[in-house]
Amino acid sequence: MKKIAFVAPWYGENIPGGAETELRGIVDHFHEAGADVEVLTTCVEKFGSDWSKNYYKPGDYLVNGVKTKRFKVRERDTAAFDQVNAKLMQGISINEKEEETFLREMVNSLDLYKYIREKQDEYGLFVYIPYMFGTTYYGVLSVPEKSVVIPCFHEESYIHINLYKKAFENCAGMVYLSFPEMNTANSVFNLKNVKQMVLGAGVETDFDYDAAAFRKKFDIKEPFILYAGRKDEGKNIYLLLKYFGEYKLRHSKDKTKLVLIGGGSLNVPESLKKEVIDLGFVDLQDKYNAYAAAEMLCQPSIHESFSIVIMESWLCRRPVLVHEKCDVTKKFVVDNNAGLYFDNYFEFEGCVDYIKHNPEIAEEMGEKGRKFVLENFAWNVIVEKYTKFFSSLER
Amino acid sequence: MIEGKMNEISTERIMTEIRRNIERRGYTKECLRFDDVVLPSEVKESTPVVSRSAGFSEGEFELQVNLMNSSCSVPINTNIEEGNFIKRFMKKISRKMVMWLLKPVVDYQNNFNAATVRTMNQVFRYVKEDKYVADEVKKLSEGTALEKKETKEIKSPAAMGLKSSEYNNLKFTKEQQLFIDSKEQEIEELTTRLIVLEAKIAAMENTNRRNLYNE
Repeated sequence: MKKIAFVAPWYGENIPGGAETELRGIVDHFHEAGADVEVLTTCVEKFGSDWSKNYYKPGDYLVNGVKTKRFKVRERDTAAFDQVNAKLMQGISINEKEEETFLREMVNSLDLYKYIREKQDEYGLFVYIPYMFGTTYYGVLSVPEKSVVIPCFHEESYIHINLYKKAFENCAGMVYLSFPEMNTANSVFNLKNVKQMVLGAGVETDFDYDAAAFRKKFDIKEPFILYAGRKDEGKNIYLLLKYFGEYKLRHSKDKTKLVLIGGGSLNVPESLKKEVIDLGFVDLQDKYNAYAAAEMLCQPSIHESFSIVIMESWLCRRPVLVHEKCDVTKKFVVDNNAGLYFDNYFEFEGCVDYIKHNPEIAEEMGEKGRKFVLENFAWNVIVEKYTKFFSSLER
Repeated sequence: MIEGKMNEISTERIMTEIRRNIERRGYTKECLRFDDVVLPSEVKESTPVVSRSAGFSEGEFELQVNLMNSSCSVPINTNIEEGNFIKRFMKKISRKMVMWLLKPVVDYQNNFNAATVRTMNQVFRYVKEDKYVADEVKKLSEGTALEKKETKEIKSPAAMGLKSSEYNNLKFTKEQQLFIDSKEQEIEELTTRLIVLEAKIAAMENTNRRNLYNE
């Protein structure tokens, strides 16, 4: 297989983000397996940085042993972008001119696109992740017949930007993290000429966990529901907080706590301050231990394209509780009978009580989830699937 | 309480049982405003008035505003997964046939929802700013009072263990005098800041009163 370039708007060893972490995993494991891979990216540091600022100098770098080429970004009209983006965030439809502004004034590198066009013969494929950014849109338009996209779609206003059709309906291949994501893609785009595959995401499986160590270190003796992830309204954390608050109100003698791990901040109502334990960022081993010690992991988000935390909870043999409106996580749970789902408070209450009062079934759900993850998302399995898919596309 | 059976684990079957239990207890989706729901008597007796208190709760306000922000958009193209292949196909065809009618209504609703959410965000910001100013005034008042008290104590004859006549003849060292002068300057600055903030609050209250009368 010829050299493969992975293209992303930013790349680095410790930068946060689901798509960023997934890309690092794919690149590192491909590299470990001996494949010839390279990363093409911009000089912007990460998602939360100024997209007009070149944090790095343009040039060649080695990131974890992988050759990484960084290209300088184009100066952008931030005000024009923000105006259109505000509309999209509020779900307001935009016209074609606004779509052009959105794509033009977001993170872009003309040097990167020029490089892709000029050096296309040196590469077998260009693999882009995720769908939204200029680096994917203009990159794909540069050489569509050698472009594969790992879009990380989910139902949101951005996916309905019409201009995306020009790129995505003409690329060579698309790789999805789940079947619902593929359904979403096909309901929005005409992908009859695109080779599509659901491969999932790679998950680290080689680790131990110790529930007792977590309880001892953080002095948590009570049973708890775990939330792992950014404390962000987009992740539906406030819904979980509200439902948990109502649960405590109706079960005044119950000792269950809500434990939160991950970044961001949360304004916990006074009445719940003793019931919610916010540990913030914890180290990796503490995270695994937390999964193992929890009664269940709750993933309330309705905008997930995969959800690594669910897989990690299953690897630690604990069941998960997801939101019915998230097709992706609900399908994982239902297909594997590895948890429960809720759509309103009463279902949330019923699910929490069921898992707490049926510990053997909860364990069995965790085991089922673990088996599913090991068979489908261990890194060696993922690399093999990607390699087969890329080989089928190479000309 | 629903008891499960080990060898028949099925998420959908468990969910069916949970929903049946909800129906049996008389809870329906239509009465999901929590205040409306009948609580079992043992919960009523033991539950303190917490989140249902009559007073304003900033935490609850922020929670609700954030919930509004995350749920204001009405999706139009949800995945159709329930039912067999024919049912799903018919549902998709039906949806395509009425899409011309549905989309403008959904767009209109989303625009309205967005405007409502933006308004609530502004109200929330106003509440936060108002609270911030009030907190600052309170801190300054307390700080000023404390400074005044400390300076008075430092300058009092009793604090130095002196009689009044001895105190009046006392000459401070250069360092002591500098310290006293700096404390007095701090008190003056704090008092000025307090006056400015009180004027700001008064102006805001006047604006609110005018707006109320103009409606």
